[in-house]
Amino acid sequence: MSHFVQDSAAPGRGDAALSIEDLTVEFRTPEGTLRAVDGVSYEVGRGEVLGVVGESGSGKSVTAMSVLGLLPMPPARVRSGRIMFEGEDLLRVGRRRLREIRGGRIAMVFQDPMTALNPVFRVGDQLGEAIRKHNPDFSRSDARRRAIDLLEMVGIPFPAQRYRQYPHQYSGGMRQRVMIAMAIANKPSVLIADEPTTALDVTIQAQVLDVLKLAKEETGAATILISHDLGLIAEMADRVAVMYAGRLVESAAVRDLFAQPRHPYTQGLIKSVPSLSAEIQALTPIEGQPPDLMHPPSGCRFHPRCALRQGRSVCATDQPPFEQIATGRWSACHFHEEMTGVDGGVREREVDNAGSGGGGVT
Amino acid sequence: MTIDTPPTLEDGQAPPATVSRTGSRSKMRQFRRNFGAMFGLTVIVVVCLMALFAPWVAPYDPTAQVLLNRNRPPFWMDGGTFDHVLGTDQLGRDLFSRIVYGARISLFVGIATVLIQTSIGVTVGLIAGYRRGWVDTLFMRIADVWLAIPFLVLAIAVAVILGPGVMNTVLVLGLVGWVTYARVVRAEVLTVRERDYVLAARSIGTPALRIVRQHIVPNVMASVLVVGTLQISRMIIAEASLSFLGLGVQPPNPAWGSMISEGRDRLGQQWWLATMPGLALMLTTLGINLLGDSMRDILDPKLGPKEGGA
Amino acid sequence: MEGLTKHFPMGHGEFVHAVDDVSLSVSAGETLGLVGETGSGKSTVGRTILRLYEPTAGKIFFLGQEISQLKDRALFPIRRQMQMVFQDPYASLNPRMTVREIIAEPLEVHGLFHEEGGGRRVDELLEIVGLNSEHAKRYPHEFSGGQRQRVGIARALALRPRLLVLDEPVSALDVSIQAQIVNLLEQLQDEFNLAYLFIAHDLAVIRHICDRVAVMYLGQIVETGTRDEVYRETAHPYTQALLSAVPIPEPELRDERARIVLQGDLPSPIHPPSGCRFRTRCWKADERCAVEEPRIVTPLGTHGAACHYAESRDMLARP
Repeated sequence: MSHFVQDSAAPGRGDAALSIEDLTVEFRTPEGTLRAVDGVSYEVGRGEVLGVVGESGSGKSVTAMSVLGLLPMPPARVRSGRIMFEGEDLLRVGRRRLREIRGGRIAMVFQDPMTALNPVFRVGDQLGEAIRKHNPDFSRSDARRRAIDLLEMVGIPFPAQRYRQYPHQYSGGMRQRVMIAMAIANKPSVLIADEPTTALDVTIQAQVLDVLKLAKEETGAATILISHDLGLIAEMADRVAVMYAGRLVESAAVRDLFAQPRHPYTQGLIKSVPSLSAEIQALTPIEGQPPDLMHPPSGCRFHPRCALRQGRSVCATDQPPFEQIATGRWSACHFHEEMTGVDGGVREREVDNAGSGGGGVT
Repeated sequence: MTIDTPPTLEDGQAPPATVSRTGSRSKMRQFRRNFGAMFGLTVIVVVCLMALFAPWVAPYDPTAQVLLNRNRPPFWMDGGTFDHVLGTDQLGRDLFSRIVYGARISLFVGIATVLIQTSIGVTVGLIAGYRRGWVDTLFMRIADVWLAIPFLVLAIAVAVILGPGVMNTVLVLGLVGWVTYARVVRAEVLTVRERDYVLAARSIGTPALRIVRQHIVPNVMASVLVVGTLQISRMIIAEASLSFLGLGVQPPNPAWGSMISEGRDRLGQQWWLATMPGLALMLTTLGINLLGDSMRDILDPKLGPKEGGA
Repeated sequence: MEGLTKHFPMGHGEFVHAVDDVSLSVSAGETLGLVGETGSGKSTVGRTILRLYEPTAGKIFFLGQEISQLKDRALFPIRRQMQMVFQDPYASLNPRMTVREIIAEPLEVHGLFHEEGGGRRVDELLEIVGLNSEHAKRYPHEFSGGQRQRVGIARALALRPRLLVLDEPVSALDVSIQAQIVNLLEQLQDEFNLAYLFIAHDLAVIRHICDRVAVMYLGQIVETGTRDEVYRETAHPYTQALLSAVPIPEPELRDERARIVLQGDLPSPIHPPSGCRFRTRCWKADERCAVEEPRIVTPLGTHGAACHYAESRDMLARP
């Protein structure tokens, strides 16, 4: 869309705390090379929560892991791109510098808190250690006091007693709180939360989300929240980036995205999820199977499953550019103009097999 | 995560798309690219061929004594000839021919003992793991007791009662080693029997025997195969040890262990008499171990390309 | 099913009270949703109904016959009528069997393979679940998660059952695939008049597919009723908290909804709290809750909540 003069390289508000530019990551496997992330760009601004949505294999976690150099290399390899943080390209700084940044200026919360805590050390000592690593002038007792404060802040009851316990004495929800405490211990400016509540039950998830919100307010960190759960994204994010098969397909402010998706994949996702409150109607699944990243579809990677394509050949031949289509909105679809709302336009012209529950044939 | 493992892209879920037939083919390619595995395989094939076709491979009768040709060194040393590539022993027997025939005994002992061990061990492991409860406790206590019996003493006892010889060696070794299998199989069965597909089979009303045959055995055999391979080399060494002590294969039959034992006293003068069969033993067991190790990597469904999450 | 109880021995004379005094019923063509969080015992209920676990106490009736005490032989013909679909499509199919073998196995075990048309029946089943006969030769690892789940469903349908116990059948799948499977299950129910016991933790999926719902907490049913009763006239504090905690994909409701965030974690099922098991996390709890166990007094199949202070509230009301 040419009439938008502003042309930003990456979707964002322009005050990026962290920006990822044209990142491409490949994995070498015995069967060949697999491109897990393909030319992805996004930014997250101070105090902002960017939700990154995608299904398994979409590359959403791989993108985040490359920020902190956490990808196993080999088999992973960064083919191109820049990850800019406070004037440095994180893909080009040395290991030692990366270690300084990791857990300090940029912190991460993972899905599985059990594997992130060392089972043979006391929780409090691990937290204190994390604090002292980035604050060498802290004495042991300073670190201990700060650790107890943090535990209290994330809602751990009896923090002084809990400080002395081991990870296995904590429940899943409490371990995730500790991980959040550890992540914000050094007042990071970027917080990456990768499926932080996926392993938790709904009632515990609610507790942890509250802690996460509190943590964000406390530190003012730019937050990247990675999740497959649209509900979680709708609840937490300010802006959303949607990934499919290693590429960004859409990005918009959270309300715009849910009210009026401008990519058929986003629309398909929203319509796949049953509602908790609206009138019950048949679900409209996305037909077909997730793509094989070893042999990704040509052109637009979503075209074999797309309800908007309707046989048009350009979808299979040309990769749609990820471009700005309105203020604050980006989409990678040749025909995004045809999309006028969640239920408008496209719905009437749905291809015949949609909703049959069949499909699945490749 | 090793290089051989394709990345599990997101949060431990399996790779995205799977409708392809590359699984087993890629395992083969993985195997071929692995130097150790290829080396092991080559050594084993050579040794097996040698053993099978010993009468054609060996230039001489391994027991024929030619006293005129005693204590010849290998061909590359002074006084050595190409007639006796690796030289001769103190009775003028061709060392190379003896090693070739010795491979027969070594392989036979290795394979036969492992077969005995496997049949006992797998049966015990299956029953203990599937039945659980007191049966399990009983079998595992027996296994503990079994491990406490010093196997050399047992071997000596058998040799004294039944007399030494290849068959008795096989019997002793076979009876000793089953515990390893029983333990491995039992542990595997305990996890496999809780898999959903076994539950599914039970919910249909599938009889226990069929569940074990259809669902459990095929899924524990991979580990049995790996243990079995590694065990073959251990058994070959065990046989050599017994023969070295004079409790195994009896002269004049050529076994690597007894050859080393006989050559021991002459290490100062005719060092090759003990060293050559020793090298053969080392190469063979190394080959088997390398093969077993890479088989473990390849057969392990947790590491295998497309069977993750199983 | 009445008063079903299942305790797992833990050694040292202790028991996990996985399921305590649970009563449910489900009839042909109907879907009963069993919802609860980890450790609520919902899966144990499903497996005990299928007699994969032996009930500690209580009775299970199936088509008017009590099956809770039947021995294997007597149970065998009944097993045909009730089947199960599992959560994890990777673990529920034997990796070393082809899809054909997997689907044919129930038929073979029951000696019906030839009677039912052998290979043709397998093809037919594959078609019913949206796969085709070419898939029969393949092994499970060649399929994606959604396709494997279809194979699992085909296996469950092979014996033409009356009741399917669906244990989290879509929670391991990607969002876009979940909807495919949910639609398939709905279509199959209409076609074969199946009774479903749908076990899940996802309240939105349960609401979408179920006619009636039972909510479990720590081995007991705390609320049961029709879908609308449970979701719109929510009576039990736990159900209310559960509903308010589910993030919903409607950003405009973000700060508008009533929110109840429960304190603390699930208590140990080995030593469940006295009286009402939910009282340790409940904002309404008082002394009475610690001594007197609340019970659902209404007859099976009508709306009821096991709470002394139940009052219905619409947690999903739009402001």
